[in-house]
Amino acid sequence: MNPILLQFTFIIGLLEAAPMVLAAVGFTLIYRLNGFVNVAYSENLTIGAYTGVVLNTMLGLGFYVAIIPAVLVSGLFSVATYLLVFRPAMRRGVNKTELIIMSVGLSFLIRYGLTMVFGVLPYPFTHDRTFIRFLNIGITDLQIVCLILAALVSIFYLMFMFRTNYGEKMRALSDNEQLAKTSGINPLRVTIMIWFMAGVAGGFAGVFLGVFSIVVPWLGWYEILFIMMITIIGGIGSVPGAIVAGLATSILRSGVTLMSDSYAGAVTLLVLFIVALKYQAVRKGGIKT
Amino acid sequence: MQRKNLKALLMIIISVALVLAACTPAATPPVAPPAAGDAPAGDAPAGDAPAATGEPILFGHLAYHTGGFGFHGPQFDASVNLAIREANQDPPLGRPISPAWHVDVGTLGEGDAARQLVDAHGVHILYNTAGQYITYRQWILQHVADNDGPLMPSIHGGAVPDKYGGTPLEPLMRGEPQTSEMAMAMLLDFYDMGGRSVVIVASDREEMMQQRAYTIEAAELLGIEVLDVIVIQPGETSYRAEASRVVMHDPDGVIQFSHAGCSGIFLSNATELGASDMLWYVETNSAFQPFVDAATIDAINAQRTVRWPTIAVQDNPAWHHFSALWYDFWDPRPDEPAHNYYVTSSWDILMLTFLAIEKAGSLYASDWVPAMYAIAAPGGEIVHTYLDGIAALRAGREIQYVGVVGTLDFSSTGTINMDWVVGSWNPDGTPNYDGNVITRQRQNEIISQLTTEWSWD
Repeated sequence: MNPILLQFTFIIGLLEAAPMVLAAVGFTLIYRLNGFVNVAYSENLTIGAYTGVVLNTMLGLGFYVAIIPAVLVSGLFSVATYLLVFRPAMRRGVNKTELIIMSVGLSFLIRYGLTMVFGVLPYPFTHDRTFIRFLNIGITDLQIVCLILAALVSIFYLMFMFRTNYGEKMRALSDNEQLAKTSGINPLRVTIMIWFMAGVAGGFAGVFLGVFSIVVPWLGWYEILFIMMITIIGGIGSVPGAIVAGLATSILRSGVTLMSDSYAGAVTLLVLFIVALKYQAVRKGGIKT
Repeated sequence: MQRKNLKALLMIIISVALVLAACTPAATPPVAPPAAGDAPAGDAPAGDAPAATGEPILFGHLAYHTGGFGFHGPQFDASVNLAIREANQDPPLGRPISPAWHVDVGTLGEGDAARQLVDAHGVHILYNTAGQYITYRQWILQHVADNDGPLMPSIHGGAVPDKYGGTPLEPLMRGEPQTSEMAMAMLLDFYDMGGRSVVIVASDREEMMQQRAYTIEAAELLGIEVLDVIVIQPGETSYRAEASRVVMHDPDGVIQFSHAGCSGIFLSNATELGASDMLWYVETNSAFQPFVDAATIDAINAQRTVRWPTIAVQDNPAWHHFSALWYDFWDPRPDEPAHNYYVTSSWDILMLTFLAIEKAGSLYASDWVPAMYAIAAPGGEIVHTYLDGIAALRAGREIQYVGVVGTLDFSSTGTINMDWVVGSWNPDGTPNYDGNVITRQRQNEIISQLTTEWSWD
């Protein structure tokens, strides 16, 4: 393969991966805990992006300063959806399929609510860029910072899940709620923490998507299918899997698109998705027997 | 118990809010027809206007309130409402034109919106058929065959192949040139600017893929080397992988057929990856602020020039009349000036439409289509405003409407052919509408040699 092509593939793949890895981590956290596909998670990205743009472009805060409150708002929004919508539904015995349908409805409600508030005019972030050349490829200082931030946040989530007491409680609750309760874990508190962290991850993803494009009400909605596919490829419910799958699929998709077109990149992702589903189905079947 | 009541109350409040939101009127308030006896304003000749009586003429607008074109929605709605207000000073056939139904196509799609307007509202005029016409063409043709209507003037009909329209059985009459001619204007200006190698980018939409096909063939005729052809999916947040191909090829320039957001993001991505000092061409829909917001000023300024085609307004009474009305009627954004391509052509095609209804003496497509040709063609008394036109018609005189963009000389399939002006973005992010004129003769010289055909058959 042409070395220039390889360089472009790798660097572009990393840049594309940054928001997708974070989004996939957040998505998979919710699935691992509650066992359903939360389509409304896409709106965490959008909420994060809009909060960021309000703080940055409308209120004049610097971009890097605006990130933290933006992701915190996204985290709180995620918790709100859990407490107001999904938790009451689960306590009423709503099954997983119905929860998915509810999440789709909630996604529509939030998206069109944002449209009512902000309109359909796209909003840009306000930031300065310095253009740099790295390995003969153009990159900006903003992209480098976002890459580093994405890596740090991903590592933080990994460390939190596998190296802290709270992370242990989260994994215990996800694996076996009854046993976790008898061990003295407060399910509500831990669940809220998971939804908050998932929302924060989504908020980061939304800010990174928004700063390199424009913020529109359907920002997150357009990404949700890719997020779901990446999560499933990485093994749904697995945070390390989401990180690895996010990186690998983004790099692979970038390379295929570079050599062919975006259709081929999307088809590549679809093929990986089908293979992952098959593999997981076979693996589950193996465990049962 | 209290918590349950609170939740129930919350649900009721949310439900009421949703219902209220659904009942919210269109982006701009519909214009009520004037009361009978109101004096016409502006350039209208002296004399009594007939009382506006009779069944209203029902007007349906395929509008853009959401989706990629959503940011154009308010100005499209305003241009329609203003035109209706103008005509209702002395409505055609003495029948007031109803406040327009502005039905959004951005979410449901053009086909569903068209069916709603025609079936549910029974509109006489279905305005702004566009690129999704293919999804309901067979249905509307049958409806026209059965009902001799609705009338279908459109400023987006350039996204429909030029073999369709212009007949009583398919009463699609266009207010703007074909997208293929827009593509030729971009390519010819690229050639005039010294561009000899190009990368062509097109969104995966019907009309944009056709523009791509025409441009590839025309570039060969002009001796411009096409280094790459890139197809992108509309609505994505990043085109880095695709944009990197521009950097790798290092062409003299890029010609892109996409929505404003996609074009802006693509330019921004390409510039970040190292593309600079190129001739960059985007479509007319990118002559607005959302393109600048998506692209960013520093990416625009990193290129030699970023250019887009538009239609020049004529310095005539039509322009003076319309421009005064535009700013008086509503408060447009700075990037929605009166001379922007969409609103000027919308004004002209609607003025023609209403005058043609008067000339036709009916709302039937079989009468209206010939009347459109008659009023647009040279030979009659030249009029520049609707009120002048309606007065002349009622006095029994033949007219030729010469509007803000000049003459709309229809082909046998209801298409028009115009001179384009290729404008550009200034370094401060303001649009510069003064630019290189690409005459229709030059475009036609190239177009007549193309073998590429566009058909939905």
